[in-house]
Amino acid sequence: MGLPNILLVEDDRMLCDVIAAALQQDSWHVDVARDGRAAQTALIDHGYAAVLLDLGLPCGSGLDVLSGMRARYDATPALIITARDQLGDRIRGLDAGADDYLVKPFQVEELLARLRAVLRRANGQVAPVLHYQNISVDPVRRIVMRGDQHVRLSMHEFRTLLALMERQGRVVPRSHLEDLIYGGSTTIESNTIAVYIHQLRRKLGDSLIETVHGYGYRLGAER
Amino acid sequence: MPSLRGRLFSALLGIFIGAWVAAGVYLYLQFAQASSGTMDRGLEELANTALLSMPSDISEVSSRSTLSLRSGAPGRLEKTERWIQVWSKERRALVLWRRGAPTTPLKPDFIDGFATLQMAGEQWRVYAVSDASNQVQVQAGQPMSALTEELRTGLYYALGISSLALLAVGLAVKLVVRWSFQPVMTVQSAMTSREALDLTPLPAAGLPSEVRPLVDSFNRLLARLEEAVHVERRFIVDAAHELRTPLAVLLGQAQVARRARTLEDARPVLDQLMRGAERSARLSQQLLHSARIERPADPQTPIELADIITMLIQDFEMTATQKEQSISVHVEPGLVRGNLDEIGILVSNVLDNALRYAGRGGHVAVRCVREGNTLRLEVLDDGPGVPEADRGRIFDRFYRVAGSAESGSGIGLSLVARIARSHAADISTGPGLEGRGFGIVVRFPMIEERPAPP
Repeated sequence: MGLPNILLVEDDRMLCDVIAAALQQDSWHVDVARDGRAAQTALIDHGYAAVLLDLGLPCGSGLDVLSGMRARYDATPALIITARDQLGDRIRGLDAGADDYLVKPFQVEELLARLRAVLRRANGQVAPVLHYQNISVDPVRRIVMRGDQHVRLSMHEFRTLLALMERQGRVVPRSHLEDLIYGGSTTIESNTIAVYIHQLRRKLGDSLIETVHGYGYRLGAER
Repeated sequence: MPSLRGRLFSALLGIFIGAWVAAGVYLYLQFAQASSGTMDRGLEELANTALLSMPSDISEVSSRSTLSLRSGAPGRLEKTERWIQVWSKERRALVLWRRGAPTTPLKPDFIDGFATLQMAGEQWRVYAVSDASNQVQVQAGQPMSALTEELRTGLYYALGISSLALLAVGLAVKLVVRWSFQPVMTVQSAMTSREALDLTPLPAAGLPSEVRPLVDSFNRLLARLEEAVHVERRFIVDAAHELRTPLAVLLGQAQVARRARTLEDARPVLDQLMRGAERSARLSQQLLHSARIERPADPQTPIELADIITMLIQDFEMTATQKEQSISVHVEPGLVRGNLDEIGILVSNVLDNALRYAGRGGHVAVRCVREGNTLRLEVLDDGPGVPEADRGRIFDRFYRVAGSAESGSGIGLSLVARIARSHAADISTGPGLEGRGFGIVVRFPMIEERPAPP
């Protein structure tokens, strides 16, 4: 296999060269696709570590490429890099299965940091559908079902649920959850995990997640 | 597209033609009746006079001795020819007849009175009268063709006259309609012939009172549009000026960096260049935001403000880390109604503002808490703050706090204020953290109550 491969899908040549150069400095091997069709072709049987995806492309948008990947259960982490900074676009991108969303212009260091975070989260992530009681979570297509009802979760709520589902019956410390969701920030300190847990209980049932006071959260009976 | 003018003209013309036809039919019937009355009276009079002027023994007179007018004398069968026969009733013999009249009875049944009969392929009007002793009967007849001929002549004459009148009326209607619509046509041609961005008022003088309000409201709209276009032009000019400065800085820094002899010498200038590029990028983004909220907003939806804050705050993590800043976030769930993209612009501009003015090593606190039936978003920093006197103006476009170390565009907070206004949110400013710095508080009306988080 050799060096880990990154697929860069970007139609602007100047930006493409800069990003590729930065990634190579960081010792990644980079393949480039300049349009949607080339990206679709490149993604077949290549086993990329991650995809950097521009949204506005010739021959099929980046969102089409992403939806296509997720539809055929290709769980390759995808990071959207785009000039579309509207919140609606961002949410559509994440809903389509992107792992992160970066708005142009961005610092190269920021891109590398986000890429590392995406890869770390993807590492060890299981692809098959997870079940607990009447709840099922499809990590690739990012679909959560409660019985036969589709439940809409925000990106962070989904990551919180997935982290707890993967560790069923174990107490997950709050700091560990923060690390899994944000990738370990020392700059931002927040109470948001509590809010996600609250929303998950509201959407999936009060008794689903148990609070272990002063420590963390657990999904499922203690093992 | 139906034309008012065309509709008015054809309606008026239709009414005139209808009335003309109805009046014509009525007059024809009246005339026809009157004419046949005259004809009957003529026949009756002729027969009666003939009867009364004859000797009482006329029925005894032999038919042979009948007098007749000499040939060629007036009274040949003409249009108004009337025939007359005198019959002896007992003998059923023709006693006297007008020359040219048939010798068979005009009225074969010999009953007194009027009748219309078919004779020799023609319609005839016939009258018969008998004397009191019932010895003699006088029969008089006239072909109907005489009557219809007369009627036809009258009818043609009337038709000709009234058609001319109708033509004159139609022409007059057309002219009157055109004359009445002249002011409207003037407005129309004034509108179609103008330039795309010519927003001067339309001519309203001399307009009829039905059209005047329409043109007046058009003119009010044009005035508002002109004002808006003027503001936008000023904004574009201002924005271009704003962009020019950082671009000039970039160019200068790049040239200085190129002239540096070693990489070490170049590095500080390159750092400056990066900051300059970031500043231009932020400015272009804010101009973009500004342009977006100019448009009529998309439909509003329920929005979980906490989700937006946690999603957007990550955009600032890298720069905050580089500036050794710390951010604390405390959010509570709560829904507000709004336009997702605009709320996103508001949150990201408030965060950007606080992090830029907090300075190196500063701290920014973001709180989103429930307060009665409002959701209170506050973003506080511990930077140098804004003097009391300037706080009222910081939401104006292109306004900058004098002597500030940071080079802001003066657009961000004006966007925040406009979005807050369009979402019925109350916005206020105050001190920041620990008695210093600056804080912005936005209170959104909250929709739908939810139980507090555990």
